[in-house]
Amino acid sequence: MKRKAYLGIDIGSISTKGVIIDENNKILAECYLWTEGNPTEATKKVLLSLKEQFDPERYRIVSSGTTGSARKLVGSMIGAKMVKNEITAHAVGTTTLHPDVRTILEIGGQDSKIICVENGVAVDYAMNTLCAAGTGAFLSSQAHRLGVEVEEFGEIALRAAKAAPIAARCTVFAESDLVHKLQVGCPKEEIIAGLCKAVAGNYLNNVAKGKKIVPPVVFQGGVSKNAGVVRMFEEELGMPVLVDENGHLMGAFGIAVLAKESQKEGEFSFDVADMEFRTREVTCGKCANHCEIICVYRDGELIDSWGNRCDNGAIKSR
Amino acid sequence: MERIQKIGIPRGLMAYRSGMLWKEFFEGLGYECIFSPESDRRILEKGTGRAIDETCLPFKMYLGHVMELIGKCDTIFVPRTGGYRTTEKMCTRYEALPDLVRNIFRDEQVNILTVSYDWYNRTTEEKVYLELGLSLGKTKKQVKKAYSSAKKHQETRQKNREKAQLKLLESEKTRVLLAGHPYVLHDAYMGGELVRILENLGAVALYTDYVNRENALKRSYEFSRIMPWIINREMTGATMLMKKKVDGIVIVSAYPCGPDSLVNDMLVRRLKDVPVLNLTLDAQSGTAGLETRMESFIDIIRYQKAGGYGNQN
Repeated sequence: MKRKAYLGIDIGSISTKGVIIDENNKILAECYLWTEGNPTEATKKVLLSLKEQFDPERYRIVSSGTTGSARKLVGSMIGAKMVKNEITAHAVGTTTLHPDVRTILEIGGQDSKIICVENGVAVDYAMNTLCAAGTGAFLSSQAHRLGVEVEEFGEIALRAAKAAPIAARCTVFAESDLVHKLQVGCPKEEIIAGLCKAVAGNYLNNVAKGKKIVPPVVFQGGVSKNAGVVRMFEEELGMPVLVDENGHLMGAFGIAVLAKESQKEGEFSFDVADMEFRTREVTCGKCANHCEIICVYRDGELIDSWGNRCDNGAIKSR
Repeated sequence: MERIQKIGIPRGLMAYRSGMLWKEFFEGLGYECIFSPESDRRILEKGTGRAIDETCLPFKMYLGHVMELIGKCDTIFVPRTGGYRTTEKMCTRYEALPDLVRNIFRDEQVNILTVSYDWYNRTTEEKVYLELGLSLGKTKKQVKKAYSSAKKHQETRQKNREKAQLKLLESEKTRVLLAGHPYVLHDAYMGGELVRILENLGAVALYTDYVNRENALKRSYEFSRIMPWIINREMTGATMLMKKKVDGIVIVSAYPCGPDSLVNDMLVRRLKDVPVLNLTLDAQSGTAGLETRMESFIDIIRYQKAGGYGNQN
């Protein structure tokens, strides 16, 4: 008899993550790649990569879940049994691996969040609002400006003797600050260290404002791979900050665990990776709200739709 | 005043508190009275087009409602409401409302019916309505009768809402208190969306303005002795009264509200032992962000009650 396995996909604005776990929450397959503005294509690529790592002789996927900003779209695409917000998914993922965690810091491509945990359950959270200052996208654009790869940022920052003061409250101000620092001949590594410090400072002053940060602290999301930011957090908080080696997969892992715990099982087939998915945005004209309704088609057939504020805009799938 | 037959009331700001009182008062004096329609995106866009950028979302919406009424009535009722006491004032937009409307719609030459009261005049609500009625050329007796009848109905309506809300507290569903200004909570486009999301998640919405006003006001003085705004007083007082009776509190503010930015921060610090979500509504038309935030919040409440995610056995 084949053993049960569970699939979790986390589709963020910048990156898409996928994992397959077994009944003991062991990761059997994993994948991390850029969304590139196309969640359905990114999901297909993730599925193909997971399929290669997966042993269908020993395991079969009995349930799947999706999270992240495109969770609904991809959820209806793969027929997920569990579609949940990223706060819960991250809280579940992290508390599974670190049962004693009290504070989860998360900085992703375009958003950042803090989750406060008590007795293994989230009790409070905060997310950044409209502005994406101090997230991965900000660091990437600054790396581009400095002519270095963002992946090298951490290492370079750690080499710096000190961090140049850079305002990170707003990306526009940070950029002009950075240009100024370059013009006055400030060494590049000090600027990079300054950017890392600014990201940590911006996060603590905005997203984490008013939240009590209690150890143990786990830091995850793409930016947690940046050792410079990790060190700045440790300095600012005066406590160790743990980065899990699978921290970038935590949302996908969490939603896979939730799919497992839900005990809702349903067939999943890698065949969806070969199907054609198309989305269409329809502006509803039934009332003055003009809701933007998203319709998802699989091989030309409407399978799901959402975005309508009232029932007048409901578009039924056949 | 020249012949007025039909009075229009913009469905925004204080209309969500006193709109029916106004309507019945005017009807009691023999006028026809109409409201602008429920808020939607088109009304907001129209209002936004006439407002300065920095003003708040509800005020932009209000301007849209004024525009809905232009040409459909003889005059539009836009009162200047300062407040009756120095610690129970309204925000400056209310104090300036008729002037703002008159100037913004100068080209349209809108006919505005107004009445003005301010905390330094030491007046009462009854006197204000008397002044308003007399300005319309009615007799003292007519005005007093119209006011007391309209006021009585308003009180009954409020009592019924309070009773209905107390019943909701016995609900088996997740009970979420929406704390905010009435004109945000009950606006079809702003708060209406939140209520819809809550209901889809199987939760019930309760409102701070459906809590007994006198009790809420009294409680607010324990929260702050000097806070000057009456709406924030009623909202914070009601929140303090309700905090132990609900499963969670969502503090709702419409961007950018000056009083809320000061008060809500303080309120969050005073709310212990109950899940709180601080939510700011803006003009973004997408609702995905709101859904994510509300769903996460409801999850926190439910998994806490369940004692965990089931992942640590």
